[in-house]
Formats: sequence, structure tokens, C-alpha cells
Amino acid sequence: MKIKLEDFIEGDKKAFDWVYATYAPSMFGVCMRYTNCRDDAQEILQESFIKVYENRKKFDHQKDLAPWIKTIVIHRAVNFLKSQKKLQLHDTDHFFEQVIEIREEENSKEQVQKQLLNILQNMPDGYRTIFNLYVLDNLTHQEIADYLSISVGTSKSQLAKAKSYIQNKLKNKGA
Amino acid sequence: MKEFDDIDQLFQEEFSSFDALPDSKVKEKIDEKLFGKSKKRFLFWWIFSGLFFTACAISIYTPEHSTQFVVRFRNWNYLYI
Repeated sequence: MKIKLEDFIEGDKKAFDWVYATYAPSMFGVCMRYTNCRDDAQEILQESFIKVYENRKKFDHQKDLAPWIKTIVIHRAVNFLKSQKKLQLHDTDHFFEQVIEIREEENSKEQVQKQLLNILQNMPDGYRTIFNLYVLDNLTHQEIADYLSISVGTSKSQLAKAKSYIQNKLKNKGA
Repeated sequence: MKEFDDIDQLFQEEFSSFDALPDSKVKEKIDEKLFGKSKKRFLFWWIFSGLFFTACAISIYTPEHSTQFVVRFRNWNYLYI
């Protein structure tokens, strides 16, 4: 693995192919969490791996590659949402009226994942982004506030609304 | 679905290992942007073109294998070139 990482840093295409094959599925999962559309997720993944290759010399090969790639993917995802003007923070609760279909009998791990992803993808983009950053990617409210140029209070309130939204969806389905 | 009280924990558990497969065209586009068009594709067209023009030349300039059309074409060539 060490040889391959060094080859990757040198710009070897086969090593880059190996990096893509190894990390693309998990990173595409991250992209899917941040967007509500597969095409957008693929665009983010594509831009991210181009950035990964272009910035390969900045990577410290003593460290693990996955968190470094994940940081790039999250950065690209947030920038993508900003560029599409999708990252709007909502104060209203009218989204709670929408109903997402979750079937109770489907409770295998894959099905639960699929249902939760469905809830996540149907959330307003602002809720989803802050929920992802705080809960799943472990950023603090201060980091999120700095990152998205919002106040710490806004970050906290959006997270609370995101959780209420999810709770509401799970209750609707008799969870 | 089972009872979920802690939303954070639920999502962290479910998405700790969440993989999804992107379309193969994503990798093709990345390769095209970073490394240009595939050399294999160029090689295929070079070989194909080479074989095609060789076959054409043989069929035109070998009388015993020529069709009537090819004979006319060859005569026309002789007249004007």
C-alpha cells in the first residue's frame, strides 16, 4: 500500500486508478448524503477526485488517505450547494407536512439505510448540510458557523429543526 | 422499523459504512480531464484505418479480385490522375 501511495503522489495513473477504486464507493456515499440527486452527487465526486489528483503532492503520506479525501469531498459538496444557491437556511416548518413513504416491513440494514437516506435527501438543503456536518462528519457548531459564514446560534437552531424534521418523519411512519 | 430515540446515534450507526457505486462514466470523465483521451481508443482507430485503406488499395489494384465497380473506378483514376 505504501508503494502505491508514493506512486500516487508521483502522479502514476495506475496508482490513481487504485485510489479511485478503493475510495470512490465510500466517498460517493458521502456525496449522496449531501445532495438530493444522484447526478449532483456524481458531479461532486468527479470534481473531488480531480482535486484529489491535482493536490496529491500536498498529502502527507504518513497519514491515512481516507480522511484527507473525505475533507475534499465535503468541501466540494458544500461549495457545490453554495454555487447552486441551494444552501438556504429555513426558519419555517412547512416542510414537516410532506410525507415520505417508509414501509415498516422492510427493516434489513440496507433498507433502513435506504429509508434514512430518503429522509435525508428530502430535507431542505440547509438542514441536511448542517445535520451532515455536525452529526455525521463531527464538526463543531463553531466550525460550521465559520465554514458557512453563519452564526453559531443559526447552526444550532438549524440542527434542532433538522432533528425535529427527522423525528417527525420517523413518527409519521410509526417508528 | 425499530424504536429510534437517539437520532444522532441512529444515523451514525447506519451511515458509518455507507457505500454507493457511481456510474462508470464518472471515472471516464475524470480520466479524460486529467489524462486526456484514452490512448487505446487512438490505437484502435489507427489500426482500423490502416487495415481499411490497405484492403481498399488491394481491391482496387488487384485485377483478378476487382468487381465491375472497382474496375470502373480504377479506369476513372487512370483517366484523370
